[in-house]
Amino acid sequence: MDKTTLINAIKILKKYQSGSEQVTALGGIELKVGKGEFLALMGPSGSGKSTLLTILGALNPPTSGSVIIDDIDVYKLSSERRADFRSAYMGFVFQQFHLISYLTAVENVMLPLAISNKPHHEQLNMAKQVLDKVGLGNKLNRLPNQLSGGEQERVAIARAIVNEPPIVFADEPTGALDVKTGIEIMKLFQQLNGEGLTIIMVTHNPENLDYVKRTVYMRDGIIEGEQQLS
Amino acid sequence: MRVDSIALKNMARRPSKSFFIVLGIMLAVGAIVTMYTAVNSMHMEFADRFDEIGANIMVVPKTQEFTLSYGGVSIRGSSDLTYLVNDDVVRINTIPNSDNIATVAPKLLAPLDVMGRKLVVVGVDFPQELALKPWWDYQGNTPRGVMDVLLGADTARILGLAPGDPLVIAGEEFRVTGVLHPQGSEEDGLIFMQLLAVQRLAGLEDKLSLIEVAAYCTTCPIEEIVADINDAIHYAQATALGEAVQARAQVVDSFTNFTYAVAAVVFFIGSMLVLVTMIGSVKERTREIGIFRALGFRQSSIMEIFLTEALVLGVIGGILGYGAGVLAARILAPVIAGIEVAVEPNPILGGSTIILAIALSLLASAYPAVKAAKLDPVEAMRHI
Repeated sequence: MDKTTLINAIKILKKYQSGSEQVTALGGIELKVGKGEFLALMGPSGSGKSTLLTILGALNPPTSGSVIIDDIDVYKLSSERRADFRSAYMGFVFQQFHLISYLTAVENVMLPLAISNKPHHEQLNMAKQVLDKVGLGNKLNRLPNQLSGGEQERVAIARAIVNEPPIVFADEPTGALDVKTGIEIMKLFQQLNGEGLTIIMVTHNPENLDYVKRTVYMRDGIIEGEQQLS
Repeated sequence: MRVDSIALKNMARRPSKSFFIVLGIMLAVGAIVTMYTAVNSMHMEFADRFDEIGANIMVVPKTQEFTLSYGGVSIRGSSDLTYLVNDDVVRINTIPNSDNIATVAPKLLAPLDVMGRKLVVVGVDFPQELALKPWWDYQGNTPRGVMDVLLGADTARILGLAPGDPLVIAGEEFRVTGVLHPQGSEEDGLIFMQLLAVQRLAGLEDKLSLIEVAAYCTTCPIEEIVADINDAIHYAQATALGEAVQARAQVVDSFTNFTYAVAAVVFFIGSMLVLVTMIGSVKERTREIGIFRALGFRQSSIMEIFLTEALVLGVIGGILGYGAGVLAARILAPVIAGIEVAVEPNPILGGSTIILAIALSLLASAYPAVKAAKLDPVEAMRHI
């Protein structure tokens, strides 16, 4: 394997049962993602891009094929070990933000640290630092419903990077935001990528492609083509 | 932040959800506590208050023949009258089962000359007699001394006497201390005096016609006490009466069965309420569980969150349920038993209640929590 390859997806097949019908969501995907890449998965709805993201993110076992991250075959790990692996290697940013409604911004960001052995004050400092970084240093104690969509997205990003994982997965991170806020978020991602973070993002918004380094186009569960942008 | 503090924050910031679970636990364990406490207190009360309910053992000499009656026991008519003696009271009080004896009331029945008429005078030990018959109410003062006389309602009417009036019995003057209200029994036609006075006036020192005994035994049959008395006084015949008590005890017994049935139903409903609320709560939070899993939480951490919640809610529900149960028993028990019932808090029951509540809460949340924790994170997050 290439030294700079961080993620290697080999012959990823994903089928699922929809009623009596078997649907092939992914038809044998081969994909390598290098360290420090900012990769966009583009494609229409139902093209399998979100499914691929969750499979690369160790959240969703493929029907066959394997995902090797940092020389570890993630789906050979037990479910609990895979959780540990996610905790160490990955952050997730979801379209619906998926913040915990009864936890404040800073508590949401502290969540990935709750399962670590770090003392409370260290967790708090780390969470405050990343919230500062995403521009929310003054809204630490707000509950999600007291924050705007863009602010919630920033909390979600802060939560994804607080543990300093090498990879962040983002599923339609601007999908629920207005254009201006969307641009701000993309700039934030670009900045984080500039600091060395590998980012894999699902999007169907072509404007977001201005900020990424490589785009993979998908349709009907297969890779249709790709474009190196920078 | 620790994993269990996530649970505490959820409960603190969404109190209405927790409220319903606590309510269910309260209902379930409160029902058990109410029923158990009420029934238990009533049993205790019947034991404690046996002397207020009446005699249930009558002790008479074996060979006595009867013509004049008192309480189903008669005097006169036999040439060789036999009597019990004062020491028999001591003998009864020292039988092996004496702990279960509440009151021993000795009596001497004698026909004496009262203002020119032959009337039955009953010599009694007033404190014991009054303890035995708490339902007695009378006009005048409580009779105590050897000069005091308590008249039955009919006797007072026929003799035209009222409290405070002097009265000549067998040539000696006494004073009417009180007049019983009509009892609807032969007591209405009797005269009650201190035992010592009657024994002297009748020339029957140390003699007793009968002894009434009030006993209650929660753990042994009344027959055992009767047998003890028969063993202790070989010339006496002890007989168990006490239908009144047995009737009341029967009411308590049937109430006990009824309450256990009701408690079982309420407990079941409460448990279902807890289970349904817990399942609902976990279902509602399936997406949240998916998020936790995506962030790298192990299944055990998810379980820790839900079981911490269940534990805290169980403790709160248990304490409140116990308190509510004792309160409800205080209100219910006297209504059902028909007597004043003292309901005292019981630390052992309190402790068991809280343990029961915790167990109920943990069991009800274990199933949905295990199910949710095992979900695929992606599956869980898709859940709305």
